[in-house]
Amino acid sequence: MNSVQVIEQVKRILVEDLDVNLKYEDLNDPAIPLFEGGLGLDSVVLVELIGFIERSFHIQLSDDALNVETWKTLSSVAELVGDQMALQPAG
Amino acid sequence: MRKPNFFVVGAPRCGTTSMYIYLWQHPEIYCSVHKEPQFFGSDLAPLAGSIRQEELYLQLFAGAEEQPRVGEASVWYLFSQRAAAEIHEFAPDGKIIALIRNPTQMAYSLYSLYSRSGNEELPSFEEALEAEPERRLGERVPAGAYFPQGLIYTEVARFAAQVERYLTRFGRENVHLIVFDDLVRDTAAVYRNTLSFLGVDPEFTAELNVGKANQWARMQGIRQLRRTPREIRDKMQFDHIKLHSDAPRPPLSAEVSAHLSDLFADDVAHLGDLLGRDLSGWTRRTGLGR
Repeated sequence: MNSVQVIEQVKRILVEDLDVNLKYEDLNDPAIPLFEGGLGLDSVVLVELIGFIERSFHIQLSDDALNVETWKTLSSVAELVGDQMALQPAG
Repeated sequence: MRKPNFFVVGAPRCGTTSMYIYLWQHPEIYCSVHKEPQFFGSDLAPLAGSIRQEELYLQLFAGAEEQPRVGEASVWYLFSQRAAAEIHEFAPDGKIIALIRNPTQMAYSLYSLYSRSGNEELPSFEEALEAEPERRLGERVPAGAYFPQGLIYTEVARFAAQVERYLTRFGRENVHLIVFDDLVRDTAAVYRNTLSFLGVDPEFTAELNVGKANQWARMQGIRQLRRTPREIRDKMQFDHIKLHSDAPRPPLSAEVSAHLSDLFADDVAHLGDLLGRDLSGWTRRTGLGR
């Protein structure tokens, strides 16, 4: 799965799985911040998002992977997901 | 299951969120990810997010490990007539941290917050003050008000009796009072003193820049939330960080400032006696900031 596909999958989670009233057109810019000044997600929603991402991409995100830089924008999240997928043993 | 042994009890609009986030960073301190569980204070109307079942309340501290200090912050404990006694019964050796502020500034700041959050609908602070006698009777309370007790601003901001309840119940050595002005002027020194009061390493260096500390708190909160029962997560409101930020507001009129200074003079003098400190500058008739 390439980075574009990862971003599209994360968008799908945000729009279709989470109860946050976002539309696909809200997510056209992958550099949009997840929190203030962007999508306006709160911490509780982010925990839900992390759960969906782990299940959807079959990865485990450790506490160390939860930091301000990786959970900043759609593209930074996609980069993290891509890095974690690369670390998983081939199945 | 760990029980909390320190409590940041208020007051609202006095820097409690900032202090809480500074304390949270300390490796010897475990803070509940849910600020404002409002478990104590049975005389207060339940706020959204209040946790009133003990079993669920204790879950807030289930992630605590070896940290000697475990705590939470609920800003209405100070105002509550019953919370001091209820906390003391629950945690007789508990440590209390209370932040206080010039009552006129605090009252105006609370009005401004409520105007943004929907608890207040009167268009000016002057009108809200004029409405207090009726509001005490349950009249002129906005239909959407979520905490009518908070609308009696001049009562909420009378700190002396509130502080005295805690001093009486816990003893002076177990109550740490922080003056908001000091926190703003020398955050690092106030933080160190607070750590010493809690008996943890006072030399720990925390991120004291509010913006960066909030970012840290968000990510730490997410880590703790992943291990928090869904029932608690569903009760949590994280908008408080956004709502609590100080939005610009017009200066208070000189007339209202003077009126409130006179109104609070006796209470502030009493509070100064309790603190052993001259607070008369708070009620001197000069221009007030925001």
